[in-house]
Amino acid sequence: MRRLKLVGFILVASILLLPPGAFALTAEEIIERGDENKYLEQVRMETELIIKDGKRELTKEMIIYIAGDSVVVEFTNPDDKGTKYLKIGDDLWVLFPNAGEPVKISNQMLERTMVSGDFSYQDLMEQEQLLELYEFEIVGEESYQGRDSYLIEGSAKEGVETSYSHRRIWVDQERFIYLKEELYSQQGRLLRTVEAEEVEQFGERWYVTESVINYKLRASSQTVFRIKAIDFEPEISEDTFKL
Amino acid sequence: MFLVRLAVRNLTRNKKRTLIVAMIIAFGIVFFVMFNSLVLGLERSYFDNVIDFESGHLQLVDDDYWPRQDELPLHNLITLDEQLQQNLSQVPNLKSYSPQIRFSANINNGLDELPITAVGVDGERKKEVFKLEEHLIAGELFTADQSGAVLGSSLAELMGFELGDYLLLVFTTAEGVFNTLEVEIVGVVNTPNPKVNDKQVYIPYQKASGALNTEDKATEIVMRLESDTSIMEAKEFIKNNIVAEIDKYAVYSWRDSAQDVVAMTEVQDIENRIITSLFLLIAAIGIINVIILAALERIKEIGMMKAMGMKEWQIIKIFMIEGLGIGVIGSIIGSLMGGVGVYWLVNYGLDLIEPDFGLPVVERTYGVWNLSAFIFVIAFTLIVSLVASIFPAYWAVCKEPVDALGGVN
Repeated sequence: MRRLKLVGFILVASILLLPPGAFALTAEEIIERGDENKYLEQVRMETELIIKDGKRELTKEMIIYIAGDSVVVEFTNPDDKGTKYLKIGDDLWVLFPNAGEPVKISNQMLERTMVSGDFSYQDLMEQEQLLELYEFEIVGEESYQGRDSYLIEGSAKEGVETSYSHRRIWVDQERFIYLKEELYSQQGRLLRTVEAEEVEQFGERWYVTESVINYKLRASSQTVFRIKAIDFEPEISEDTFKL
Repeated sequence: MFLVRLAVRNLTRNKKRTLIVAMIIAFGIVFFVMFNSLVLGLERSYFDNVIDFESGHLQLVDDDYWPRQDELPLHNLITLDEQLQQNLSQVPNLKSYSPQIRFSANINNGLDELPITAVGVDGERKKEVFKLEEHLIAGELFTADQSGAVLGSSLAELMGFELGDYLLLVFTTAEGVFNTLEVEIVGVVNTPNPKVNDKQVYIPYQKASGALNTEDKATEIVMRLESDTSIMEAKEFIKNNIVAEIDKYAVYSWRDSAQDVVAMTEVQDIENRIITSLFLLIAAIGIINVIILAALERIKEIGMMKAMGMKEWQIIKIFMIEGLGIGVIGSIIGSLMGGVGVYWLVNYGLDLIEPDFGLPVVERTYGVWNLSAFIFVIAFTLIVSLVASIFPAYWAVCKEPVDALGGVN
């Protein structure tokens, strides 16, 4: 009995004496949990896009459907009502309400900013989970917006197609939300930042419902992306993704 | 001979009338030859601008790249290896060639950005293939080992750039990764081609290749020949000696690569033909009208000639010779005046085209000499003058001398 107590004591002591990082998550595990929150297999969202450029402010309303790697963005604000962006596989199409045929957005257009905002068409095209695209490492832990976060850097995996060769991500340690992302060019220049402004819990999933995107190469420009309603288990007919 | 003398006398008897009709014909000829000279000059300018700033005389490309070239893809590129260089050096009448890599980018000044076409070029070779250096308004064209960017004057003005400023290019690499390139502006060009002035930035080939991860490959190899007339010969040689060896390559002439411009000029050519035809029709009606009036005025004279025993065909002949005479006088005056007008167009030109007209020309439009236009319009005038005089003369001679002398129509 005394021997059993001794073994128990040694075991508890060993656990207590382990270095603090011994049970910490790896960068991949953190991003995996982040991806679990962020990436949606199927969803319907009613959203709002507020594009600010100096004194100019433009609001666009959209309904977004996602199913696998297909995405439909349908504008509902009066000026753009009926305009749709449709991503099927690697192709992006735009349908204007009064034009008969959909127009394929050419490769040279993909790098341009979408609807004069701060993100590009190419950003819309990228639906893969981050873990598939980057090698990650934890570079620190710091407080961001008053929340403890992991600072993680990602470098694009060799042979994988991704828009940004380098990313820095602040991941909320408790909710595994990407609080801030910095997106860099191959040359190492900061191109865009995406910051979470509002986060809500839906069942077990934490989800960013308002984020601010900044294209860092254009002064006084900012785009707010706000989710007004979200359905994680929508019924989306196959026709939604047909041209 | 008597009839000719009579016709000449009739013409000189009514000097004022003869001169007025001849001047109407002359002004028609002046308008026609000047319009024709200007249209041909404009067309020549379009084509020169395409050859001098866009496509050279010939382009060697990957055949899969060609149909998608407007999208500026970075796939299906061409490698300028030693073997290809050796083959190219044997192309007949080849003045020079240059590899280039064209890609889509945004030019950024820190405040805003605009979509442009960036072109990676070997500065030294570029000088021989395109006429950029002649149109530098500031700075210089970079050499092979230099860095720097050269851009069009309108683009520089729009973005607020000056010589020595740094511009930032934002683009995606061959793998679709965003990349940026900061380059000092070493030259500004103002060419007759609005596409170059408004939308193009030239950077060194090696720098572009490195930033795009294209491994020293080019989107096309542009060739300049000694003259326009040797295009077909050079094209055939490349087909038989280069494309035959590497069948994924293809050679295209400037006409193939500027199909939009060629199509536009073809449409314009049809428009010009319609305008010219309308003009000629109006001119013909004018001539007919004037000769009819002259015949009506002289109806009593015709009655008199018939009463004096002149045959109908002789009267018609007199009218035809008179018509031809007016045509000759008008043609001589018109050709002289037209010659002066065309000389002026050829040497001084006109400011015709707004930069946004959609065709690759912004400078003054100069005319060209076209002898066939002179020959055609003179022949047309003489034939119309001759034919136009038959009907009124025939109508007049059909009258009885009594009716004609009495002035009964």
